Amino acid sequence: MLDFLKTVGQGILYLILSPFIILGVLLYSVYCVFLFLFMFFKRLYMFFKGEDMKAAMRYDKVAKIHLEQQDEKIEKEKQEASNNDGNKNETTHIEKTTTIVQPIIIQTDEDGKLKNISYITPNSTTSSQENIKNTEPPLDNQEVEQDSSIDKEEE
Amino acid sequence: MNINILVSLSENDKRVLIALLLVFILILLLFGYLVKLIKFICNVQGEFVDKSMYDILDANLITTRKEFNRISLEKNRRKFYFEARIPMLILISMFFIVLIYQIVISNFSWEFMVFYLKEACIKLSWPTQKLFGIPFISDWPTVIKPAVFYLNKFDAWLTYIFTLVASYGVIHFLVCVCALLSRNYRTFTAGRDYFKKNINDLKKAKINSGNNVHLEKPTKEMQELVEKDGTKSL
Repeated sequence: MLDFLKTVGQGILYLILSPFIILGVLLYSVYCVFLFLFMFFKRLYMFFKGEDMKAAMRYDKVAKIHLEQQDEKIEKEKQEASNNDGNKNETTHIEKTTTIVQPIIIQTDEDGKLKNISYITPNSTTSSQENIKNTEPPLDNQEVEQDSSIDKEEE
Repeated sequence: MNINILVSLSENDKRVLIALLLVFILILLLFGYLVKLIKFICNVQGEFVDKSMYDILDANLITTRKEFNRISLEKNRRKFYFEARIPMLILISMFFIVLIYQIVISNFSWEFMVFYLKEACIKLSWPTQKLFGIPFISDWPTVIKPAVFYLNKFDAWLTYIFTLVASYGVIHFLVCVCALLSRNYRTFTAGRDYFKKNINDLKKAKINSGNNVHLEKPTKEMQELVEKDGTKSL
C-alpha cells in the first residue's frame, strides 16, 4: 500500500514538473546538436593530427600499464609465498612417512624358511599364511612361490 | 452551514465523478511507473561512467574532482557522438532528400507535407457531459473524418516516409540526449561521492589496506605523460 501511494505521489510530482522537465530536455537537445557538430569537427581535427577518437585515451593506457605492473608484483609475492609454503609442506610429508612404523612378526623354521608373517595393527593381532601372497613386499615373490611348491610336495 | 445546500449531486453526477477520480488515479499511477522506468534506464546508462573511470581511479592517476569531471565528461561526449551518428545521419539525409525534391519542383514550401499529414489524420468527436457547469468527456468518441492516404502521388509517399523515418531519427536522438544527460549526472554524483572527505571512509580504507588493493602511486613519468593531453590516444 505504501509503495502504491509512493508511486502515485511520484506521479503527481512529476506530472506537475513534466512541462519543465520536457522543456529542459528540449533545450539540452538543442545544445546536443551543437555538441554533435563540435565533436564532428574535433574528430576531423584529431584525424588530421594522426589521432583517433575511438582509441583509448592516454589515461586509460597508462592506468592499465600501472595496474598490470602492480598485479605482476602482487602475483610474484604470492608465488614466492606459495613456494615457501610448498617447501614446508614437503618436509612435513617426509616426516609423516618416516614416523609411521608398522610392526610385523616373521616366523621361520629351523632351516630359515618362511613360515608365517603377522602384522600388528590396532584391530587385528595375526594374519594367516595365505595373506602372504596378497601382501606387498618385504618378501620376494620367488620365495613365496617356492614356499607354496614345498607345501604341495609335503602334502 | 450545510454543504448540501450549495452542491447538490444527482446519481449520474456521482457516477461520473467516481469514474473521473479512478481515471485520474490510474493516470498518476502510470506516470509514477513511467518515472520509475526512466530512472532505471538513467541508472543503467550511468554505469558507463563507473566502467570507464574505474581503472583510472584505481591507478590513482586522478587526484582531484575537477580532473575527474574533465576526463569523464570528455568520455561521455565521445560516447554521445558515436551513439548519435546514426540518428543524425538519418535526419540529415532525409532533409537532403526533401531539399532535392523541392529544388526539382522549384517550390521551397512545406505546405504539401502539412496537407498530406492533415489528410492522414482522423478527426474524432468526443461526447461531453457537464459537471458543475464544466464539460467533461463522458463516452467513447465517434470518427468524423477518416484517414485518407494518397498512394498514387509521389509527394504523398515522400511525406509519409519522411514523417516515419524522421520521427524515428528524432526519438533516437532524444534517447541519446537523455543517455548523455544521465551519464553527466552520474559523473557529477560519482565525483562528489568519491572525492568527499569522510573520516569514517578513511578509517575503513586504512583498515582494509592490507588486502590486495592497488595502493602504489604512479611514477613521475606516468604522471607527466597524462598531465598534458591525457585525453589523447597514445
